[in-house]
Amino acid sequence: MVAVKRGRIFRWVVFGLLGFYVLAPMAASIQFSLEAGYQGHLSFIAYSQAIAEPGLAASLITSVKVAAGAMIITLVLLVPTVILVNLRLPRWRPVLDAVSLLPLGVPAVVIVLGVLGVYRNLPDIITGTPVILALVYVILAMPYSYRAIDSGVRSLDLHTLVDASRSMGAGWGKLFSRVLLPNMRSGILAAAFLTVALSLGEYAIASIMGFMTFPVWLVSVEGNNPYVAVALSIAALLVTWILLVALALVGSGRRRTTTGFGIGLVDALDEAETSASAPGAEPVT
Amino acid sequence: MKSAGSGARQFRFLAAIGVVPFLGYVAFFLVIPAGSVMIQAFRDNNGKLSLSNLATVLSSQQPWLHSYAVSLELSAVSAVVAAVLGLVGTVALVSSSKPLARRLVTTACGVLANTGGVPLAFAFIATIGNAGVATHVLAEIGFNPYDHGFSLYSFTGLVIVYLYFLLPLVVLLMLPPVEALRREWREAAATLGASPRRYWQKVGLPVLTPPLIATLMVLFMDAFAAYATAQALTTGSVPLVPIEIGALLAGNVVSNQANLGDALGFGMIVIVVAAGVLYVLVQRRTARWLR
Amino acid sequence: MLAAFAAVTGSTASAANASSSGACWATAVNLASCGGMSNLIAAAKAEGTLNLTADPDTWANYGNIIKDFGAKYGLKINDFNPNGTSAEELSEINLDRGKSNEPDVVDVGPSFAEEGVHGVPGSFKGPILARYETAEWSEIPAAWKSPAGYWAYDYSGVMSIGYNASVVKTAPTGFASLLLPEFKDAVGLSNSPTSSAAGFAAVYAAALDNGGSLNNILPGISYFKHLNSVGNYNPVEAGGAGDAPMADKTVLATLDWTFNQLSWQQELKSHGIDWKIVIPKGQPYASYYAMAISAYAPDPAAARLFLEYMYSPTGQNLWMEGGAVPATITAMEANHTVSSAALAAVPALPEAPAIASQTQADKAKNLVVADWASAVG
Repeated sequence: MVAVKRGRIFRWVVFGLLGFYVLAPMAASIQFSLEAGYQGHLSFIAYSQAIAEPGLAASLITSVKVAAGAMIITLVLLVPTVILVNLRLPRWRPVLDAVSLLPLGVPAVVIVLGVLGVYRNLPDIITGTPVILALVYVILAMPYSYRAIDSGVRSLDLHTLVDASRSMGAGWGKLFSRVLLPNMRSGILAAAFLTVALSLGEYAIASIMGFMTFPVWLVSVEGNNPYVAVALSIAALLVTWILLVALALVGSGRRRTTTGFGIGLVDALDEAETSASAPGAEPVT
Repeated sequence: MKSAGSGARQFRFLAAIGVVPFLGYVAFFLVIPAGSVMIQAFRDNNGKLSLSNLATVLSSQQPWLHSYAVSLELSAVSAVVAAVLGLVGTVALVSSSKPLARRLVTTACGVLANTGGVPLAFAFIATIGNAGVATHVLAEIGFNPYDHGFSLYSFTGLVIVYLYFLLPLVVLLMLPPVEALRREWREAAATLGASPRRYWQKVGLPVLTPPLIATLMVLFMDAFAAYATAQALTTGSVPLVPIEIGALLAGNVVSNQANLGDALGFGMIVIVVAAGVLYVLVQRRTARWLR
Repeated sequence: MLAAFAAVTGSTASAANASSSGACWATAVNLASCGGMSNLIAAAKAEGTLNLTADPDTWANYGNIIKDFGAKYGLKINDFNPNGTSAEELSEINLDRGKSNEPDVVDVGPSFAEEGVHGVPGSFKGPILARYETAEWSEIPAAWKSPAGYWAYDYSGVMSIGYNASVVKTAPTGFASLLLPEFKDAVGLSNSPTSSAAGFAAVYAAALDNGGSLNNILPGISYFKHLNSVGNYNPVEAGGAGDAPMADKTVLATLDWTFNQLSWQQELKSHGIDWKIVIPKGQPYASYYAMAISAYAPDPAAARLFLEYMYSPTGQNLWMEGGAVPATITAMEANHTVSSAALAAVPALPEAPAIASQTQADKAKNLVVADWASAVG
């Protein structure tokens, strides 16, 4: 009983302190942006001015497309790799961990100069369109997305899950989609959030390459007005957050428990039972 | 699975092929482009191959070694503080298990982990800058931190601001391992008479150590590479390597020292690789648990 | 005029004329090369766009310049990477060849313009700029332009102090005033002297004020060291990222180009802040920027038309109205072509400003890059 109460106090203290740390700077920014009215009177004029500018929708769509592309490439590239490494190549684990951190050692300006220089002769559909942005953002997000997916996989009892499912007759495809992916949900979602948020907020590379993404549009409309600039940066955070919540809802699917072992195994069991008549399947008692 | 003789070797070889797409992507979009630029580190201003830039970077008469030292120190301090506070936050988050709240928090973490640059710097300037809201409040009650030696525009200030994007990262990365701490273990430990402290000491922390070390690596490198936030808050008054690279490679003042900038960048790569090697060694030692 | 000619002859040669004159302009070195101003205008209109880069709206009146030029000739003006640096502008010329965002015209610091001519061994071969001499070429002093015609100084800033007169009651008169206690934590620069020309100029100007010279920038670094030790130096970007630090009173005074101070003054007025501008007593310090055309410009006629426009009194006055001193100011004053708005915007200078040569500036830059962090850390 005492433990429960102590736990609750602990929780509230932690949330309170961390919450204050996160919200105070944001509140200060919001307060500043509301002072856009003459002589510091509170006013929403900064926000309404910003929304009225043309190009908002187009730039937002571009950014969303780039973010979606980066997210898909990231997941398709990293999830199988991480599973493979943890399952079959455990000695390579630390090496790939270190490789995934390499992008942090290279300044963004160098990545841009390098990519533009080396791949100048690639077809224009790649280098001349925002596709190149998505390809670069996968690299920029890799230290975080790789770690997130890896963290998710390592928290599973991977070998037992795989062995148990395989011994019950689940094929690799089913194993992947019914057992592994659902169990990795929080890691995959975290990787998706980090990649999408990075793509929606990245300015420097998009600007040098001349693409009108959402952050580039924001800078182009804030003009000389600092209140608008701050208001827009807060609005951008909100927009990104809303998009991520939508992504989370899509990725949540049916409700499941979150312990690492049980998900999917029950389903796999069901599958095996109903297909017990298929050749090669072992009957389950 | 079958694991005897040449069948296993063949299998492992096939498995090794599986990482080719990942390594190929990194090579194609990172190593080759970055290498093509960084190779300039080994040219002098006449274009001839030379180690003069490296010599400059390593020279004790020049300020660059000191910048590396400050950058490393800032990264280490930020990473450790973020890891400790973030772990506490993650544990608190997991212990309150309302799925909707958790989704809202994790998505918020995804957003906050990517904040930085001018907007973040300004948010803190508006809060605890010399004319900030919180500063005014504190001055009213008689304790203006700026009269007592505190400054946001300093090493300490940078740590405080860096936490803003490092803490959410810790939460996102440590959520799966902390979630995986079976509740049963906690209850079993309690029935055996262990206090919560002993549980954490003997079970919780050892289990969390490998993922925590991996997270620390990301935090460390993230802080090391942070450029826009430090530039906006201190514009080089705290000597940091990414800012100096920016000034030499992409500035408005110095136009003939790009090769030196590349050499500084090469130094950053060396640090990543060295940290990576250290990490491999540490992980091989501590990865025993959670089988 | 070309279109009327085509209508009279009824031939499709008009299209051919426009395109051939466009091709002619790609290598034209002055107006006479391809038949004069009216041909240039027609060719530019046929191209329809102009690609600029790294020209913020609030910098030296570029907002109005872009608007006026675009409206006058019906061209669409793109301004890519508006907050970009001179180094980025050169990279863009090299790396965006053949793409739609390849710059036509660049506005860079003089040392970067020189790099554009000579190239960087191991990185790119020069020249990546195109030779062109505007109608006013002879009005620009020889030391202020490339002898072969690759670039010329366009406008200069004069180092000035801007301060919040609503809060600071006694007007600062020079560098010494900024050391007073009322400026605690409140004196800022646009951006660091190691990466911003305005910041670098502030250090140079401080050197001149404190016993240094164009050959000796060390007293300038010492000044800022002193400013920092009395607790007055605030290292945030006060101008480089907008005027938010001035608007919320974090920074009460900045050292910046006159043209930047003017745009802050105009912007802050609408928020109830009286931002006043003072030229520090003593010899003023000025430093020019250079304008050049990219060798791979996708709109060569529009690029040349833009240069003709900007070096004519119209364009030079536009820059001056933004608070910058134009390169042809001596000729303009002799010809009385300075507009009254321009005269009002640039404060009268007590004496001719000091301008560093390339060699002097390079030597000074290396010192600042090496010593800045230890001076204000």
